[in-house]
Amino acid sequence: MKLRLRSLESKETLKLDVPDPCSLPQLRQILADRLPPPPPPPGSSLRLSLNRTDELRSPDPAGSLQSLGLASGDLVYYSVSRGDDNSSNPNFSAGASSQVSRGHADMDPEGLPDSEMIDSVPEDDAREVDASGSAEERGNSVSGSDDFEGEGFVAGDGSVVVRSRFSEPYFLRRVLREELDGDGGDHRLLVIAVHAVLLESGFVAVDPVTGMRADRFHLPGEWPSRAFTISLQYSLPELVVDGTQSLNMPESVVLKFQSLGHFITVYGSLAKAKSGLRRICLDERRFAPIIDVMWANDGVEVNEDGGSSSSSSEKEVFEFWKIVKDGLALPLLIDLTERVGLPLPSCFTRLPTELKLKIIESLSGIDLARAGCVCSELWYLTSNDDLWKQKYVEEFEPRIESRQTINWKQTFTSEVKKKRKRESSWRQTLARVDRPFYFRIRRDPSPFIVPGIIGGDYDRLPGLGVPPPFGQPFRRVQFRRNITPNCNLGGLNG
Amino acid sequence: MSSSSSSSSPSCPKKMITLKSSDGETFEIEEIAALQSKTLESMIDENCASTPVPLPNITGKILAKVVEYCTKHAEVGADAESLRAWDAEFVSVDHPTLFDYILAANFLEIPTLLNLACQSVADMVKGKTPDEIHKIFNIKSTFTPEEEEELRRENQWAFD
Repeated sequence: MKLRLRSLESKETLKLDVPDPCSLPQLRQILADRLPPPPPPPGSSLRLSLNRTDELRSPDPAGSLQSLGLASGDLVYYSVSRGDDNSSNPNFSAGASSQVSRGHADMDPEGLPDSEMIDSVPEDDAREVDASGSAEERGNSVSGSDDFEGEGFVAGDGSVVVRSRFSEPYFLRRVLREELDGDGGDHRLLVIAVHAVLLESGFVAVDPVTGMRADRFHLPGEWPSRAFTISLQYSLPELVVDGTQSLNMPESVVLKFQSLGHFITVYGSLAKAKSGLRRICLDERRFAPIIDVMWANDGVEVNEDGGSSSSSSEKEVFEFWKIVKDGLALPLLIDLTERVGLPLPSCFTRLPTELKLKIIESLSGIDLARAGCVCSELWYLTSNDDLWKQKYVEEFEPRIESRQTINWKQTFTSEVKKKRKRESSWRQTLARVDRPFYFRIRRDPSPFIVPGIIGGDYDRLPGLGVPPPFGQPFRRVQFRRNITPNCNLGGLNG
Repeated sequence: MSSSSSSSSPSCPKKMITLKSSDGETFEIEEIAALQSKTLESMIDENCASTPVPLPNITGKILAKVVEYCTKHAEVGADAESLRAWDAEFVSVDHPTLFDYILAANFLEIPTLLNLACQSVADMVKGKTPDEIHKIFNIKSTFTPEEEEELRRENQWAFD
């Protein structure tokens, strides 16, 4: 079967044709033979991975690649690891992992507010650093560092660091996964992502016991591997006054997450009224990988595979957003505000996402940019690059040739600026030309009378000095184009 | 298209279907007019429209107007110009009503009304600054002053 082997370091891809059936050691051997010089140092081994982090391992050395879940056409990452390869990752069968979708390279970041996730990991990070004694740099900030670019991964066990600039997110992500033992990681990701959408919609998290505002949840450290239930509570800023514990707890919204297999069902309802149950169902296999990579790539712009994978992941994130927003966040917001007698959110806000999009689609590029400054939801909706592509086509060029990834909003912006520059410089030119010519070349105080003087410009252009039939200054431009103005022809005019 | 025969001669009574709003009001609408709604059209096709069709998402006030819209647009012989003027009049209503039209047209899948109402809302946004948009639609800003400052700078080209 045919496999693609990509080096984590150089990003070069080799196409290998391996026999059927082929075992993991055989694959390593074939790869080692095919590696470009210089050959890997002795004592080292090739580390294979499907998701660039967890190593591909086989419980049975002679087991075929298919038993690991590999199929023809798959992309496998490799790196050269120095000797001791005691990665503590318990992830055996990469094929069964539902974490990172195979073959999908880096994707563009999105603006999901995931501060919770990042806050909760540093402690784990510190522990793991001490344990492994790894020599990579570890900065203080865990996200959004300006140095992040390209690929790289860190293994806490001392394997070769390909590029340590990327160390934080991947390392943390791996630790997170290790801590949560694979499955737990996906649940946590989804729970936190749903939480993020609720926060964006205007809710605040509350502690269910005290009823006070909570800045972060304390998600359980132990997540049961299969079915689990967890519930979170939310309220509105107006209902929760910081620092006071109200005796009579106001109405709030409760979200219950239930997992079954690879689906998470989220139920939302009012805590006291227990009415208006809302329900959405999320497929972990569909959304968790995208959210995972989004978070890991926070602050990075990488387009290794071109636009297709990044725009498809953006679409998936948007789908996730739509499902949670329209199915849970908005209805619950309306329910809660109605119940407690607060003013409802604006009519526009109450529309389902698709209808909001329909309305802003018919706006011009400039109006779109202005609308994006109104609120964070509109900012997200107007940041959709497909929308900007549409605007660009409408206003500038009907045909698009390039198939590269283009940031359409930036392209549109620069076109607008160019157009404005052209228009303003043309206006300036017109303003110069607009001054009547007779001031420049005039030798006679009354230009409208055909001069009695013979010679000079008046000979070359007999019509000069006579206003053109329709009196348009524009005509004069054409008249005068090839003539040197103010040419003194020997003082004929004295 | 509906398999039941529409009136072939003026003396036959027009086929009507009954719609029931969320607050219990009933409205009669000609089948021809109802065909503008894809939802109602498929119900008619499947012969589910013989009893009053419950529409729990739409109030009586809005349903009355929607029926009026569909009836007007099902008329034959109306010239485009006067229809446009009638449409413009139809959507000169307050914001809550306009948005209710959008939701009703979405639910009943009436593309013409949906486009009309959405376009009308978009026209309200055109040429407005973010502050004005805040006021018109009563949308709360969820940005901090610093974020707002940064956004303005990024989108300065749109304000020049």
